[in-house]
Formats: sequence, structure tokens, C-alpha cells
Amino acid sequence: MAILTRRDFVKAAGAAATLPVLGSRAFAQEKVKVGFIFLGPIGDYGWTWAHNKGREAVNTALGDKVETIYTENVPEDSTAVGSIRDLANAGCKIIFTTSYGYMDQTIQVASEFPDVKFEHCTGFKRADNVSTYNSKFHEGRAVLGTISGMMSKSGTLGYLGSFKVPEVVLGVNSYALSAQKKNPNAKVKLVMIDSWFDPPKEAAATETLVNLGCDVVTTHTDSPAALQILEQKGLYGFGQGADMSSFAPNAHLTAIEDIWGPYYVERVKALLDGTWKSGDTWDGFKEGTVVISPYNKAIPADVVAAADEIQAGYKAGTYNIFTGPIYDQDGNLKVKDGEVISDADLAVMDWFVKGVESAS
Amino acid sequence: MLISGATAGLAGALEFAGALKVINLGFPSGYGFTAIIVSFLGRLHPIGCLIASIVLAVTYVGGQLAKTTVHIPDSTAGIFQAMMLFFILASDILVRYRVRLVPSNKPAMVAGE
Amino acid sequence: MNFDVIASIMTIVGLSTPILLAGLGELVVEKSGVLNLGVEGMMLLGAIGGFAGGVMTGNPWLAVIAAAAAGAFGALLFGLFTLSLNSNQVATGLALTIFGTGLSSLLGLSFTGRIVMPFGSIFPPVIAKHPFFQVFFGYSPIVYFALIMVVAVAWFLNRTRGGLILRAVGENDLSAHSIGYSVIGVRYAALAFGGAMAGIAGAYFSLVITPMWAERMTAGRGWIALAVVVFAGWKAGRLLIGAYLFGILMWLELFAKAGGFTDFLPAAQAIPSQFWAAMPFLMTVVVLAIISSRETGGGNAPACLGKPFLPSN
Repeated sequence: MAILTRRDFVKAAGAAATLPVLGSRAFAQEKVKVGFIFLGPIGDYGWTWAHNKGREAVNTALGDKVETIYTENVPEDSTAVGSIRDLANAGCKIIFTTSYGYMDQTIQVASEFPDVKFEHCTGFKRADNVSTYNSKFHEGRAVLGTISGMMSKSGTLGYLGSFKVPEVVLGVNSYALSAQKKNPNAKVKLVMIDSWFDPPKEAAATETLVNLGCDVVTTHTDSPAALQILEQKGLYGFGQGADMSSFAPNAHLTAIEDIWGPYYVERVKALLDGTWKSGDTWDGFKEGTVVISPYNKAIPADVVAAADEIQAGYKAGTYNIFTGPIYDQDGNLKVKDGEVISDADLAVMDWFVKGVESAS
Repeated sequence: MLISGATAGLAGALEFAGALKVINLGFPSGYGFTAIIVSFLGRLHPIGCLIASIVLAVTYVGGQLAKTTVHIPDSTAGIFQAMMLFFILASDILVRYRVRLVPSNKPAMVAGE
Repeated sequence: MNFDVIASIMTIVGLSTPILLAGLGELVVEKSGVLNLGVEGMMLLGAIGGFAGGVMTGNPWLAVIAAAAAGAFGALLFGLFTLSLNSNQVATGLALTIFGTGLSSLLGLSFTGRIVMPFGSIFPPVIAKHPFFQVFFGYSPIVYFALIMVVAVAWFLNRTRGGLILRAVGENDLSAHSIGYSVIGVRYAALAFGGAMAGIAGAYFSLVITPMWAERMTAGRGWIALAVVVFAGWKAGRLLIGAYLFGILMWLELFAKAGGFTDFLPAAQAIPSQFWAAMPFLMTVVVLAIISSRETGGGNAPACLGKPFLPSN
């Protein structure tokens, strides 16, 4: 439990010594190197933590053939180009970039390293050596929205978003639609904080949402800060990317857990077999990339039943939250009764449904 | 003042136009503060600034590599940069003043009566 | 107005307190003639120091003391270079910011993913969580400490001999030196105080707002504290107003982002939230311009601010 200060300083000195070693590729590589670019710290117990679990799954399944290396806390700006390039220069044959904001950077480095394969998470730009993969988090949001719609006393729900990108828009819409199925007057107040991980800002934004009348808040950002605020105020919330109940035992109703392990193992195997091809993968409940955490004991039985029903529907392929009639914020009918929005349209969705209140 | 503002703006524009070619959501912040360190390390002389900026860039890149290889945060490169600056600034006093050991004033020993 | 006024006031207090604490510390430091730009670094050192103290001892009071010590460490390091070795204060302060950010991130590695109990109100829950009275009693002790310190700092600077000496050192260090006061000693003491206050301000983030550690978690509030000292014209009372004003502006940014204006002031909703985010800094520039244009000053910067102390003997 002691702070490893001395070891950390030795590590820092070691870093200087390893620099020249990194550059050289003269050593015979027996194990294939697999690289990961992480947005936040592994210890965020959220988005990056889940991706790291995926990385560990690769180690467990293929540890005799591959070696994984990773870089944490890579900001979503031009410095990411350097980080991705470092992994490629270190000899990685496949690199997973785990956030939307690495899209252009991945494409750029991919053009410099045609023999290296790249996998970009939640993006939409592909190339011969760049694949994209995503998870249908919005299916999980439908479960959260159902629970929120039934448990909220004020009927005003909060959504802590990051940027107006399709993944977040889908999440907000799915949450709103599913809540409205249980409470037709439910409203969703949305705040975009322009960051995926900024605990003080997430805390202040959560407080603002609560001040505006929200009694259940779900977040699309990566830290447990929002849950901590909700716990202090005796309100409800959900974990993001992983089970965060240790941070907020009373407030945490359930969480959407991201399960990346099987996909990562499959793709690395394809690389080793030589069958890797660029493509797009978008899995959800059915394939097991979205999992709902155990429910908090405070959730009443009828709510649990409703939530389970949604999950079962998705797993069987019979349920889709984006089934019409769906109206947009101005009241126009965007999806007709019985029609289902196609995956292609979902991937670029940029409008919010009726009942979502946001500044933009 | 106008020229310094213009150059700073140019630096920002080059960051987008050169490194990334696309304007995207994030922008590396904090380069501005490092620039002040560069000016002091460069002793407020243009050629000095050029050399100092290269030195500081090396520490930044080294910090990024350290993040991948040894898993320490890249802001740790800041520790090295800061120490460099601390010691260079402090060495000014050695450059400008001489250290002299001054014997304490003892009353002169007078021999004799 | 369909937003919770009581809760909003509490949010504003929470946003303003770290700025107030760091600002008070920096005020005293600048009054003694030293310009310490390393506030952000000291706050981060305090944040990790406080968090580490909280995790290791489980006692929030000891954690706050640890945070103050960590901040003071940073300030005294700064003092070593600027007071004893006469290095340039602006550059050294910036170096301290970068140093503090890097060191806190390194030390914080062992603490990612850990949590502590939030350092909440010590009043009994009956009043602390009461729908109305919580606006007075629902805060962490650090909030009350900050308010008490406003009075204490104002009284010290204006009513005590110690404060007079400190101000003299800041206005005319050579005269103070010739009278016999230890200019360097007074400035070291001021720096230690400033560092301790900045450290506690940083601990407010890691012990009260979000009881966890994340890199750079003070999110630039140190720079806002520096701005608010200028905005306040180096007076403690105006500092209190300035800190809370900036807190309100930060709250407005999030309020606007959440569409809070839509129900009662739709015209205001059209203003982009980035405007509110920029306001604290814009206002500081405006106030600085106004203060400087008045020739007689009154609350102007201490005359020796940022100048190294070079006695002729």
C-alpha cells in the first residue's frame, strides 16, 4: 500500500535509458506486438478500464504469441499522432485507438505505416489498413431510460454528455425515448461539457442538472464524479463503461458495462492468421459487447422486470428502441409508425428527439 | 506586442495546418506556458530561443515515449523541464556574483604589552 | 424560476471557495512584493498531498494539514530560487506550475481509482441537510475556514504590526531593510502562508468536490485565482467579492449549457456558454485597465512586486 515513489523515480530514470532501445528494430521479435491507445487512465474504473480489461483478455488468450503495450491519457488532439506513431515505431503490428477523437490521427498514421493494422473505436473513417468498431451502447441506454422513467419522481432526467457526436446523440435519444415509454411526460436535460474526462467539471455539471430539477442523472463521461455528487445528494445515477457501485453504493442503480475482450481476441487472431480485413463492426446486447451490471437492491421488482424485458428483447433481436413514431425536438415526425431507423442512419444521427432539452 | 501576438497566432495555425490537417475537437493547451520557459532558457535572444525550443521539444517527446514504455504520466516531463529552468535561473546568481569566503572579523591579536 | 435556488447557491459557493483560498494566499504573497505565478502547481501538490493524507490516515483534518504542507513545500522551493538565489520571479513561478503539475501526476499514480470519504459538513445532518438551512450549514469546514481567513487576512494586513511590516516590505523593501526588518524572512513567511492556502484550495478538489484523484484536476483554477487578486486590487474584501463573482460566472457557463435560461429568459439562452467561460478573464483585463488609468491608484500593486531584493550592502 506504500507509495512507490522511489520506484517511480527509478522508472523515470529508466525511461531515459530505454529511449535508444525503443528506436531500434534490430532485435528479433518472436512475439507480435499489439498496441493500445487509451483516452484516460486505466484507473478511471470506466471507459478506459473496460478497454484495458479487453487488452488483458488478449494477454490471457494469446499471451504466448503476442505482447501488448499501451499508452494511457492520450489527449484527443495532434499530440495523439505522436503517440500512435510511437507504438507503430515500437513494432506494433496492430493498434487499437480507443476513442472517437483519434479518428483523423489514426488515418494519418495509418497512411505512414501501410503494413500496420489500425482499429479505431466509435469512428467512421476507414482505409485499407484501418477498421472501425463500435458497440451499441444505446441499447444499454434503453434499459437505463426504462429504469429512470419508472423511478424518477420529478420526471426530469439529466444526461451528462461530452461532445455532440453520433455516439452521444444516440445515447441521449435512446434514453429519452425509453423513459417516455414509461412516463410520457419525461424530459431529459442535456449538458455537454466538451470533455470525456474532467472530474471537477463533471461534478459541477451534475450539480447544475440537479439544481434544474433532475433526480436521476446518467453520464456519458468517464469518471465516477457524477455518481459521487448523486450519492452526496441521495439521488440516483448509473455507471458508465463499468460497474461503479464501489464509488456510490446507494446512488448507483446499475451500469452499462463495455465488454471488448472477445472482439480484441478475434481481431488479433485474424491478424496472426493473415485473415485480417478492414471493415466495420457494430455489436450490441446480442453479441455480448453490452452488458448490464447487477441491479441495486433499491430497484423495485416491477422496474427490474421491465428492464429485463428490454434486455431480452434486444438479445433475441425482436426489440429496437428506434422504432417509430419518433418526433424531433421541434415536433416534426422523423420516423413513421412501425418504421425502424437503419444502422447506417444511426451512425450519423445528429438530431435529438422530442423531450430533450439542450442548449445546442 | 503586435509581432508577438502574430507569431503566437501563427504557431497555433501551424499546429492545425501541419500536424493534423483537420480542425478537430481538441487542441493541445499548455504550449503557451512552455513558450515562456523557452524565452527565458534562450536568455531572451532569438537564436537562444531556437535552441531552447528544440531542447524543450526533446523533453516533451521523451516524456511521451516514457508514457508508453514506463507508464509514467507525460506531465512528468514537466518535472525535468521545470528543474532545468530552476537551475538555469538560479545559476544567474553565480554568473553575476562571485562567491567569496569572508573570514569573520576577529580583533587583531596584538602581541606585547 | 424553476431551478433550485438553494442548491444553486451551494454550487456557487463550492466553485468559489478554492479560488478564494488560493487568492487570499497569493494576496499576502504579492503584498510582500513577491509575484508567485506557481499557484496552479501548488494547488495540484495540495490536491495530491491532501488526497494521499486522506487515504493513508483516513482523517480529513490531517489530510488538509498534509495538503497545506505540500503547497507550502512548493512555495518554499520557489522561495529558495527567487529569494535566496535571486532568480527571475515570473519564470520561476511558471516553472513551479509545470513542476507541481508533473510531480502531482507522478505521485498520483499510486492513487488512481482510490476514493476517500468526502469532507462534508460537520454540523448534524438535521441542519446540514435541511432544505433551507443547508445553505448556511451544509458546507465543508474548508468553506468556513476560507471565509474566516478573509477577515483574518484583512485584519492582519491592516490592523497589526506584522501586517504593516509585510506591507512595508512590499512597498519599499530597501527602506524596510534599512530599518532593520528581514525582508527575505518576511517574504519566506508570506510564501509559506501562500503555499499552504493554495494547498488547501487544491485539497478542496480532491477531498470535497470529487473525492478522488485525477491528473490536472484543478482545471486551471489557479490562474483564475491569480486574476482575481488583480481584480480585487490587492484588497481582501474585494477579493471575496471577486472570487464569488467568478464563481457565479462559472456556474452561469454550466447553467447556460444545461439550457437553464430557456424557461425564464430565452434571450439569454442565445448567448453561447463559452462567453460565460471567458468572462472572468475579460473582466480582469477591464478592471486592470480601469485601476491603472486612475493616476492616484488606491489599492494598486505593491511597488516592489516582482522585483528581486538587492540590498546594496
